[in-house]
Amino acid sequence: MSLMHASSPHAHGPTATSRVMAWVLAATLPGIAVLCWHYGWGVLFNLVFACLAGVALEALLLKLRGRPVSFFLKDNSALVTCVLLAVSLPPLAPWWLVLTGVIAAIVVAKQLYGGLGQNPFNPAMVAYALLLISFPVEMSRWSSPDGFAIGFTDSLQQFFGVIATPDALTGATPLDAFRNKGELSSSEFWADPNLLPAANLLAWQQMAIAWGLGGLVLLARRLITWHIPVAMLGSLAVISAIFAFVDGEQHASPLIHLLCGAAIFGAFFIATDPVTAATSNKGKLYYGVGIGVLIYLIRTFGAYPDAIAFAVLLMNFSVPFIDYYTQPRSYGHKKARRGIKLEDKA
Amino acid sequence: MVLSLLKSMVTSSRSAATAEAEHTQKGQGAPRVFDFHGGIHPPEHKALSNRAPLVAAPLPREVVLPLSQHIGAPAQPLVEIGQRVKTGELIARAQGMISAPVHASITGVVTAIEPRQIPHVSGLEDQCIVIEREGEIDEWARLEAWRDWRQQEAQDLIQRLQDAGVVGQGGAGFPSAVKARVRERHAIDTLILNAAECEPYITADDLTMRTHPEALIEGLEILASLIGPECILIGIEDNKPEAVIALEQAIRARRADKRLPPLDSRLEVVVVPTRYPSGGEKQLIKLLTDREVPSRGLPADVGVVVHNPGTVRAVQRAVCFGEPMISRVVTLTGEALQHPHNVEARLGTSIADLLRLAAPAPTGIARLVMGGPMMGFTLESDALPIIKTTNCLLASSPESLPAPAVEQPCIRCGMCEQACPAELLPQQLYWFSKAREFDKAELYNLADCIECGACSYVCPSQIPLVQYYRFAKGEIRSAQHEARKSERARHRFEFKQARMAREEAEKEAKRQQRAQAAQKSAAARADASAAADTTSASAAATAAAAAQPAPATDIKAFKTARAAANIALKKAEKALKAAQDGGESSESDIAKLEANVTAAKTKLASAESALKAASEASESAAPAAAGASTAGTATTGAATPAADLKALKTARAAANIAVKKAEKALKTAQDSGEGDISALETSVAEAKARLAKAEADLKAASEASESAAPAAASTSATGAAAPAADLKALKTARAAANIAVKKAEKALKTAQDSGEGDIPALEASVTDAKSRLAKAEGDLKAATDAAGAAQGADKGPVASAAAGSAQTTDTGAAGSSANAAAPAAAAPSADIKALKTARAAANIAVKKAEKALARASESGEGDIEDLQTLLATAQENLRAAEVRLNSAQAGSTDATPAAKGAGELIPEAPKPAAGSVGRGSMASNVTLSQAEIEASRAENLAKRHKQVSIAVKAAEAAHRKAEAALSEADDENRQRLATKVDRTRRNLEHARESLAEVQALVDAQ
Repeated sequence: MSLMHASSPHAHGPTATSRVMAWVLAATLPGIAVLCWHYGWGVLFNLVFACLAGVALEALLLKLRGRPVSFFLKDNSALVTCVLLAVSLPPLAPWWLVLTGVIAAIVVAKQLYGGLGQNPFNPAMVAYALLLISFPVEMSRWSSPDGFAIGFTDSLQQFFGVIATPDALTGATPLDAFRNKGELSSSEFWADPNLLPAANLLAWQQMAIAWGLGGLVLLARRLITWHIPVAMLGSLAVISAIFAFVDGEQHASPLIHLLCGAAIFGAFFIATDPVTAATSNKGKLYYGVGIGVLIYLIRTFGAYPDAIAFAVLLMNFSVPFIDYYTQPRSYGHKKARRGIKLEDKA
Repeated sequence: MVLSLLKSMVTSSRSAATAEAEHTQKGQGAPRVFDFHGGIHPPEHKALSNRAPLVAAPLPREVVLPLSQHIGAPAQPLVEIGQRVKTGELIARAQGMISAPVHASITGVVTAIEPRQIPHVSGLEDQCIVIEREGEIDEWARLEAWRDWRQQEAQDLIQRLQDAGVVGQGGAGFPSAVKARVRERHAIDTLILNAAECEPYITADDLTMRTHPEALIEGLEILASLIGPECILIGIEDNKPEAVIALEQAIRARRADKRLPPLDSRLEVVVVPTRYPSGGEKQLIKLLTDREVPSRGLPADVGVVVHNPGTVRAVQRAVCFGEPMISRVVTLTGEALQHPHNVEARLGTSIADLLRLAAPAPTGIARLVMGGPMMGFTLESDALPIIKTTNCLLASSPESLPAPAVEQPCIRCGMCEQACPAELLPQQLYWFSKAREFDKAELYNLADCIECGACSYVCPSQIPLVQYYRFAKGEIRSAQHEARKSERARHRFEFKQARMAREEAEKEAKRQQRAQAAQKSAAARADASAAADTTSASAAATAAAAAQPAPATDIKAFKTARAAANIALKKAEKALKAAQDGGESSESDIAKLEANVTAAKTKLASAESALKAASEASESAAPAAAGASTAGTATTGAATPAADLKALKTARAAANIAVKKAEKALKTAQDSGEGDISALETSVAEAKARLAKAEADLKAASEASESAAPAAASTSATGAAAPAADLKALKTARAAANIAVKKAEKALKTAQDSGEGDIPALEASVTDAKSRLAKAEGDLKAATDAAGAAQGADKGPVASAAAGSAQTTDTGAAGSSANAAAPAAAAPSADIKALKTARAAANIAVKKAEKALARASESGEGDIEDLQTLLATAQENLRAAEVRLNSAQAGSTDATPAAKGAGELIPEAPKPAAGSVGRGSMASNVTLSQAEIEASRAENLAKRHKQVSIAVKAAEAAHRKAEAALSEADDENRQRLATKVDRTRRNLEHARESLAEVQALVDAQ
């Protein structure tokens, strides 16, 4: 009789990386649906093109790096990265913009660092930040939420640059509009429908809610823990509430901050990227709070209307530090250890 | 600010929730169940085996009983092959503090005691006793049954657990008797029955509880009577409702039974939610008591003792029925079995036999696991026995436990952290283990990992995390082992250095003493001259003053110095007065004399103060110093290579006195409450150690002199002990001389016949040879005479005298004289002087032989070949003598420490000499004596090795004992015991060092 020799445990749970990634993809569906509903074909072109390019690049890079291609492609991680990047891009983004972003994300931020699990920075956000800095015009070209008003063919032609994107179609995001309100006070800004069409505001709010729904799916499936979203959104709400309370005429309300930007999306889908986030539960709280505070500071005092990418990347830098100082108290120990002091051992 | 705000919000809300939950539970009066971090919910698969009743397995035809079925020292076999044994008979007894005996589990004949493969993770072989059944008999050898165990002494009950070989059936097999003695060290308030049985598939405890609930309750009562807890909690997962009902019924019945005394402690069944690993000891303690076992600690540290149902039942059977632990309940389960169920099987039954009971599926078994799917280990064969800790045999099909998937990269998802019941950071540990950063892994509390496998179970990347941790733990263990080893080596080296330094200091002190004595007499001489001359007064005072700062504590010297200074002062005063009275001297002269007087006064004062200080110091230091110095002398005396028995006896007596003095001093100091008591204690301890050493030395020396006497004496020219070998050498020498005479005569005759050659010279040489022959005969006679008379006398000087007398002999005798001289060095005295004489004698012998050879070759007469042989022998002897001298000189420094340590080096001292004796002997007796000497040398060495080994063991035992005493000591005795531990440790190191040295000699041989 030949018996298998194996190390315990002999049983394994049903979880697998590919399933985790597939569930993340599934959780993006409500958000994608609402996004398409408001912004039309462009969103889908972005998604499809990004995913095709992403998977192809991942396969190429794996081959170049001498790794088993199909084994790693099956983990679906490239798809997740590409989807998250694509939904962050403006619906009218041209194909080269998408391709540049995918190269930055998959090639540079992920594979050149060693592939899945080795990248210190969130690949989608690295790409987003790169595009935002390099191509500010293209990256801020959001159309008004007209849904599928522009036909499939027109959209496709726009996507591939055959016809120019008409300026008339562009519309500011609520955060951008509020930022550029100039001397106006808050109440004056909200009173003027020309500055920010109600449709815009509604679209963003609905999208935020859709992303939130997807996030709840992830929470329910225990694919993420509550720590990062709660800490991030909570700190953003608290800090914006404080500023709004002190000077309501100059600062947006917590509701604007939470619902009119990418805060919800970022909280559930970006900041919770396991590879680049802090490890321990306590660490995740610090990490989330850091992102929330940075988002507020950059939105309010920085040069960019939204700040998820910068805030997340900045906190990615601090993850090793946070991890060292937020080790949990292990069973049977009086207190948690902080930092790594090897000389303590002696 | 925001951070702290948020943090406090989170904390407060959490504590509020907890408090509320506790309140609710209290209100309902239900037993409180707390929570542990993490855990998983793997499919249970318990229904496979828990539906069939518990049955007894048929008696096996053969059992294989490993001697190590428990934690601790393996048992020691008491039976022989071919011996008949009854069921329950003791066949191997426990060895050491933590160990358990083994009993025959069937009636039959012992057919083998040999290494066999045992069911262990390592897959290694271990010593097993194999018993083959005889017919269908199952004849029992029970211990006395104590149905009325309440009447028994606790000590007897504990002894019964030990005698019955009861060990923990749940995990590692910890001897239950040791656990039952926990009260000696810890206060226990909670006894927990770990009935959680959280591992999937396993139902052995479940069926035990359902089938024998009364036995479990009684077993718990027995254990409770031994450890005296306030409450007994039966922790059981909510997936075993039938067991819960059975236990609750048994408890009600027990409470209702008026014939028995009421329960001493609160006894409760606590149902806990099903979650792996709630049956982990630490996790169950947390669930039931909310206490955490400290890291690297024991449950007893938090007042808890945990037992497994199987163990508790074994306890009950051992006490109430006198049945040793020879069987246990085993779950036979898994998808590859058609009839999974639980059996009560005799220990040692083959796994294949048991699996047959459960009807293996024809498709075969893919993976055979002993234990559960989470923490069990795979077996490579089913031809293994079950042992005391075998709770489950899981025979799985390829589908139920598929082969592990390929490991994917870690995505740091943190699911492992959410699942870890030890609240570790499994993924960090994984990175550290993978990168071999073991120090960091240790800092992240790798040691607290219980290897439950929850992290591996949930890992989406299929990383075998536990395997990484085991690897890291193993590496850390071996690194620690290495570190300990090198630490020991370092310690040994440092100790040796310190000892050598100490000995050097002792020598230096002696040397200084001598130097001081010389200085003293010089000072006295200086005084005398100072007294004669006025102007030399200041010089004398200077000399006295110079003597003062010397490190000497010799009061006498100070007194002399003071007296000298006094005299110098008087002289100076007298001179001054005379000069003043006479009025002849110039003013400058008077001034000079006045200055002299002042200087002399100063010097007197300083001499007086120095004397006072010295006498004070000597008073305070006297007892200790006396003890120490006497002891020091004793040590030095004992260490001298002379190893003179008398000297050693004196040394022992001196050491004895030193000990008494030191003790007296200590007592006085203790009584008066003054003085440095700890220093005095140390000095007493040291004096005692020295006494012990002196005694050991004396013993060794007397043994050595006994054992070495014949061999050594045999080589002595005077034949002090005069055995044949020596006489033989002398006889050979005489024969050689005789031959020389004959040759010379022959040469003379030839010359006379031929009328050629230098006849007078040849005549002279004949006369010379004859006189030498006469001398050799005289030597031989003297030796023969002395043989009887001078037995036991000290051989050194005599031998050298003999060597001296042998020097006068000529070529023929030269070799033998050197031979005679050389063995003299073999005398146990190992007197270097004697060896030097011997070397000189050998040297002379060589020269003589050379001269004779030269003469013979010049004259062309005599047997040149013979003379060449003689020269060669003489040269060999000279070399041997030199080697011996060198080794003796080296030995006098080297041998001292070893002799002091093990007290056994002395017999070794003559050995190099003995070896060279063999080489130096005449051809006729070379083989014999060489072999003899080699043999005696080997024997001596072996004997010494044994003795030193015993000494090491004794020292180890003493050290352990001392450490144990220290660990239990109260504050009063701590200081004393610490000193003792220190001393025993030093002794141990010393003994080990000696052993290493002897080992080196053995190896060299």
